[in-house]
Amino acid sequence: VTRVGEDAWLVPLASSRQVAAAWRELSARAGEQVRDVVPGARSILVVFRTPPGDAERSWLSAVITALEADGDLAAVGSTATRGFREHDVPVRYDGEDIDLVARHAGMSADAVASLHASVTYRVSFVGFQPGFAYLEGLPARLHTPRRSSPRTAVPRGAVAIGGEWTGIYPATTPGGWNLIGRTHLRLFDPTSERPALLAPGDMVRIVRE
Amino acid sequence: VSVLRVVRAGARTSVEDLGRAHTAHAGVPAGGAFDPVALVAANRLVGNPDDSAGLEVTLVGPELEHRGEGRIAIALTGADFRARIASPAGDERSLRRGVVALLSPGERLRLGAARDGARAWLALAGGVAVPRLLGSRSTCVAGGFGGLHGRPLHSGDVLSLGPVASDPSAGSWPHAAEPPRAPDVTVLRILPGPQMEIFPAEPLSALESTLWDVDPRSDRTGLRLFALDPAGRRRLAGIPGVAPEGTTLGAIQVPPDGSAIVLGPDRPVTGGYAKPALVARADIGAVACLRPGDRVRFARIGLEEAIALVDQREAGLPPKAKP
Repeated sequence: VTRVGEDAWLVPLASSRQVAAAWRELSARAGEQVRDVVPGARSILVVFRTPPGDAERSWLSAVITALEADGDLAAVGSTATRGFREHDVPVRYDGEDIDLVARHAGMSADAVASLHASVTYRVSFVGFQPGFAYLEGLPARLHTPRRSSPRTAVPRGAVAIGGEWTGIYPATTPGGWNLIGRTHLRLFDPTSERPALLAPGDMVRIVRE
Repeated sequence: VSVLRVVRAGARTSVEDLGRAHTAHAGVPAGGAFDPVALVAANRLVGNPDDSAGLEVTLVGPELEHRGEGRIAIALTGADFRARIASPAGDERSLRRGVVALLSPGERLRLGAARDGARAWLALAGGVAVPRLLGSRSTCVAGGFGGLHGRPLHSGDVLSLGPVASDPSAGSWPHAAEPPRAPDVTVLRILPGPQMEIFPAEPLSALESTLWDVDPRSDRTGLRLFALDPAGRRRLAGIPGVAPEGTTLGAIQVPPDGSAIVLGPDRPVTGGYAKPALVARADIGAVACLRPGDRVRFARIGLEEAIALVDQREAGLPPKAKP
């Protein structure tokens, strides 16, 4: 555990499953003194409202230790029992960069679509912009470097590949990932109890359109 | 009901309170006033709860006309925007920073270009009455929600104020009259960042020994700095990134080109650039007040000192408003 400034601790973790489990558990048990619990790719950042001391450090250690003892931190067994959800995301594979990704992978555009749609992805963390989920599980052949020059406007709903990650743009925004398709699903709604459709630990299946 | 018409929006004026909590997992930044202490000070002066929504103004301030009934208590903290109040008859009086003034129906509050610093915070008795979304009234531009229609103010907008909680304070906030900005070089105190254990000590000393220039592309997501001396830039270039991890207000990201970005309240919730250091919370107000072309140096302090500095700054606040 590393202190980050006056108000936060960063907890390194080994996998996205651990991150999702730790995020849920810490959020559920957080008192008023916790401002946020921020899942990263391989870490959790716990931000306090005022500089935390020994009591907060003990609380954090106790939660992480309990998760480890429970075995949950090592392997989150059932997504359903932990409140993680499974989503079916309809995707039409007609993105502007699908031929570029196909050339990079040495396969046809149709094969890229089939391969991309064949995987069940796990939400690792959400970042970059509200509702933008980093999906883990992209087959290695589809790993494609980000564009050297980002687009000034990627359309809302664009399904894209950035390095080892795949993701969906929730709103029209500048972006540097390779666009392979699109979905009509709404990924972010600030008036909802659950503003981001995809949360850390959730599973995503693609339904090819 | 108190209503204000935005005659002129200024360069960038947005509705902000103290920001959001427990929204990072959805990718929603905490947001809120860049200098929360300065907004709290202004709120307390006008008799508002600490988390009432006010206006954050940037570089060129707005002009607001009181179109409702009754007098509105207002207070301004932060940089000097040459604020004055104009009556319908054309008389003008200046608005001192850090003390309460009253705006009568028909009067206009006029802010000009910032004379020092870059940002100021305007509290209005009753607070700006916009819907609370995800626990806050702050403007989230990245998500297109919060504040007034999810965007900074436009000329012609109308702001409603909420019910007044208590009487304005007779006190003052002296910090408002003394901009934290040094005349030539602003020294920002820093703490070692989360990756210092895996880096050589080099990045921290390179950050400290370099003179930095504030880039015009700076905004609420981050303050962009470029090393003025090429040796400093070279020493910081090529630091590898990290697996994306949660970001904190004031964290100093160093991208591979050797520049530095001090993260602001609207920063993305996660980031993969290395963060050799972070600006002490007591100096976030100074970060908020930096303008393009300003010169910056970093100076390392310890955690205990940083915490003491936060307490010291907050101890200077006016007393909480009593309902």
